Amino acid sequence: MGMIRADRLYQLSVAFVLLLVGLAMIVPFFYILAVSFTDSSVYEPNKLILWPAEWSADAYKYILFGNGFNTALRSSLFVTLAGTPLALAISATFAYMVSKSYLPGRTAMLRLLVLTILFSPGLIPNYLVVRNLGLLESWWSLILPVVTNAWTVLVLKSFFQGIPQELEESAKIDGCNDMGIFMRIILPLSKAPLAAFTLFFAVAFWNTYFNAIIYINDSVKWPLQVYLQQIVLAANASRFIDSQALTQLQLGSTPPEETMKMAAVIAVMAPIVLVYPFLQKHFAQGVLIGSVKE
Amino acid sequence: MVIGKKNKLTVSMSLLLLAFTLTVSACSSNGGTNAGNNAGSNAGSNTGTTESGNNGNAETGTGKPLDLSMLIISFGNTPPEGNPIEKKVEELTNTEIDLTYVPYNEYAARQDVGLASGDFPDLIQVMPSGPQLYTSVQVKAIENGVFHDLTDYIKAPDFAEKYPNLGKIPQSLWDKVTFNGKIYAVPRNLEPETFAGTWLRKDLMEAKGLKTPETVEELGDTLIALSDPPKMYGLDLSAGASALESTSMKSIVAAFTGTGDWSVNADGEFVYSNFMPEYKGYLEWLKKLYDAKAIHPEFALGQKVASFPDGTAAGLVFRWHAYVPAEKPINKFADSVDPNAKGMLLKPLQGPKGPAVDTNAGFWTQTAMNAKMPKENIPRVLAFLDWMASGESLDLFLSGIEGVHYEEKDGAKVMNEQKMSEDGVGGDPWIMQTYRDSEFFINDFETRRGADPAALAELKETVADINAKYKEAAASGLGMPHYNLYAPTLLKEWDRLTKGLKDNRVKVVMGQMSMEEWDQYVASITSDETYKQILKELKEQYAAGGK
Repeated sequence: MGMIRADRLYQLSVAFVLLLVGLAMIVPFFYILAVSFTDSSVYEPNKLILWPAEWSADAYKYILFGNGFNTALRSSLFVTLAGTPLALAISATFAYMVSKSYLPGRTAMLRLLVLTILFSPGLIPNYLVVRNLGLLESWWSLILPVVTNAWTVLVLKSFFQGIPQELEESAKIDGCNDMGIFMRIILPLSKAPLAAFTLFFAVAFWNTYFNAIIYINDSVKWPLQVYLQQIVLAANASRFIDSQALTQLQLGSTPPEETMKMAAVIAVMAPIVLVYPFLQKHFAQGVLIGSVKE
Repeated sequence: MVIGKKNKLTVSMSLLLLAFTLTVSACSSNGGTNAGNNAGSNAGSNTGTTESGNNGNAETGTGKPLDLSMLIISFGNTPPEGNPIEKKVEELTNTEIDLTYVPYNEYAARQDVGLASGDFPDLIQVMPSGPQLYTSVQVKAIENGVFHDLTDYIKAPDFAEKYPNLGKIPQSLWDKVTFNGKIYAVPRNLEPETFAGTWLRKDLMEAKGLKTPETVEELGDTLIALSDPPKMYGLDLSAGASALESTSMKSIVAAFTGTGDWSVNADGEFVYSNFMPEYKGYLEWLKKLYDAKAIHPEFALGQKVASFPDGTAAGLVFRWHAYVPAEKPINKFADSVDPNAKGMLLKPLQGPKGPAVDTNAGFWTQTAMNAKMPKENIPRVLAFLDWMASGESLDLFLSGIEGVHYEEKDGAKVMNEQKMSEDGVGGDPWIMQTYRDSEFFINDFETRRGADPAALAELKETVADINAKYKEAAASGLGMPHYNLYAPTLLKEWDRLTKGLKDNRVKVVMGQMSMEEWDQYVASITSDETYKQILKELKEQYAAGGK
């Protein structure tokens, strides 16, 4: 009897602690959501708002129907939808190639790859390379320089190496060529890491901000993150910088910065959050990849 | 060392790969040369062979439109491309404009990339950062010749005649923008050289029957009397630890030290304000406020815990035009604050060593011209900048085009807000070149912002007082003697040298560091060889006439 009660107590206390931790994770999101819908006249900074005192979609209206939201969205969609499959294709093929131990020059390639983890040339050489490739002012400057990276390739490589050789050999016996093996055997078995990396790449492309500012001057081509940053900046401008000489003459009324910032956060998060559940099952499995050496 | 066969292969392959990549990058085309070669050779070769040189006259007007591209800092809400204002400007100045906006937060990175690679539009907004006129990246770029040298044009005797609006810029500003005897850019975002003002909540003062403070001591006592934690604190330091060294708070520092950031004595010896013994007076003043809870205990986090516009702080040291009551004020209280809340601007407070006034360069950014742009265009660009400095241009950007963005009715302008926001009208001009002294800002309240006449009269009086006190203080040591001297060690090592300064300041105010420890810290810096080297460089440059 004592054992069962102790056991139940244990279960309950664990559940309770986990509930608290879960709440600690969720409550900030509620806060953001609530503040984004709060009317500016009742918004008080530094107060915990879990339910808007007065509902108002003004912040969203300002963002979604503002000048340039649509073009910015279009840019982000192009970069994400074109970039992610390309990134996966390049990373997976490179990783598969490098996973074959009989490839000549393999070690050299791997060493160069690892070199990129250790050293980074910095902003200006990157800029010069992109410029010399003629990629400035194009969405491809946001895609190609980041289309793959060493970590992705190394993780995929070890996953491919974990696939039994026998499968490939038996496929070869059945008359399959290398491309066929890759497409028909390796890739279907790699759904887990591929789903994980799809998410990583998609989120990274969706979040493109800094590269857009550096490589693209034409504001029509700027992605969503830059557009949203502009909004949040505009809201911030008046009490902005008490540094050397900045006076902004401001006109017009905009919702106060906090509600707008929160609405901007939600607007940016929403697409990714909506996609997550569908990749959830692959994701959990994929994250463990590379953590256990077989 | 015996190298096995397989290893030999690996090593040789790696070496070959390395050699290959090095060769490729070395041979990689003419586009990839460094800024120096580019700018230098282009500046040289372009002067002869340009087609945009065939303009009708040196200024704008007849002839082929001038192609001007610009890099501009944006504070959000960039107007759409090809909007009516842009077209109107192109029409009026005979130019073809190509604007590139970069959000403020990323501007420094973008600017540095442009300057280092030599790749930037015809006109670039040079943004300052750090203790002196130019940052080390900018100094390097100047040495590489990426900017046109404008000295001859500006020092020409007929400059003010040819460019009347630019001619309004006072000599003190041109002096400050002179670097190594040359002028490389036109000062921009002009503003009064003294702009700080102390604001208090008038309604709270009246409710508590407090006397208007006249000295910094009295201000401290007033702030303590006004504070009522946790709902209301005395002093707004919502920018966090950096608020203690903001341009505005430096006016309070000046009351204690009688100097700006750097000062020079009769022997040409420089000293940094923070390391002067008088500076401790400032720290003690802050500490007194902190201990009496007139400053929020967690102000250093910068979380806006006690903020004047949010109604949680009763006092703020900021720009003197920030809270002037008007129909369209510069700053206003948040909607959740008591509707009776009003700000009152104090006359300059007296401190132990002088009045509490700040000293600024008088400009924030500068307009520099890319050396790759043909030299013949410089007069036309100056004319363009002159037009941007005119009242006509300011009106155009702020009010728009008559009949489209506003209608003239009975002498007043009736604005079409909808069209204005569509076309992005109503913000600052792309190049805020207008000469803006205190008179300009006061007039702005009168004409455009609909200020209360009584408040306006008070403002005029107070500002006159501030300017007068500034003149007095400037004559006795308040200034920026270090600003445009070439001190490479200062640029390179200052951040490292003063790494702990910001935190230590906060620690002293919060009582976590005693004054003795502060003295020790200051001594550790002033005895440092690097600091001495900086002082030496400044002294030499200053003696050599610096400018």
